[in-house]
Amino acid sequence: MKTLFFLLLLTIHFSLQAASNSAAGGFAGGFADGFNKAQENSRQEQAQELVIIQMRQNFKARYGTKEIERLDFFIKNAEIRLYEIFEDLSRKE
Amino acid sequence: MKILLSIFLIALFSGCAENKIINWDGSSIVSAMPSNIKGAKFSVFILDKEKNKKIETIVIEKQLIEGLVARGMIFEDDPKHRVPNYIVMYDYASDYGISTQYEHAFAIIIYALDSKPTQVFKARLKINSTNNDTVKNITLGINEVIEKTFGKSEKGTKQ
Repeated sequence: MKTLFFLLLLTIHFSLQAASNSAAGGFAGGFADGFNKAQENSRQEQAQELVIIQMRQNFKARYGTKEIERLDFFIKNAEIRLYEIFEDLSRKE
Repeated sequence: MKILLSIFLIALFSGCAENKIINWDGSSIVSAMPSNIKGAKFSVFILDKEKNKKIETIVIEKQLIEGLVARGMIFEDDPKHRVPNYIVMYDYASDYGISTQYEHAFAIIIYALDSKPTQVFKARLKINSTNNDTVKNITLGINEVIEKTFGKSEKGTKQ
């Protein structure tokens, strides 16, 4: 019963996928249309990524905050801080 | 039936996750605390000493202590004279993000003081937010880490 239900779900999934491919030109417009569309999407994603990197660099240059990097440094060196705490506690004696 | 239920739950939780500002993607809990923490004594220290005198630090530390005390641990404010069972180290940071504008991070590392100090717990949480309210966002992070690790408190943690 479970297997049958699973197969039914798979069939629905693949039918939907085929329908969306068709809409994108995969079936109707042929391979070239789909390929061009994929290339265009990829170019858009790359451009978007570049904009984000540029924005991040601008923020850093403008505000100069690197607090999270500093936090990660302290996480890596937690043991050093631990022994520093021990030292402080024993120094007060 | 189980498959249907699983699909429904996955859809439900993916929907919920999008609305939350806490993002566990860049976060990890590398080790789990011992289950029996009730009655264990702990002292708290910040990792970055330069933040020691900040008002934000005082508020954040108070939230952290309250969260752990609400789970049955005992805060030891004089570790020099009374050695605690655990040393809790924490730190927080804020930075400028992109889509949500601000990124906050919260880290907590716990050492058990047995014959040799051993790291028993480590978590780093990233919080994306549209506001730059460090205390508010880090408090959310603290509650998230504590709830994920020790479960919900009966009394709840104060905001």
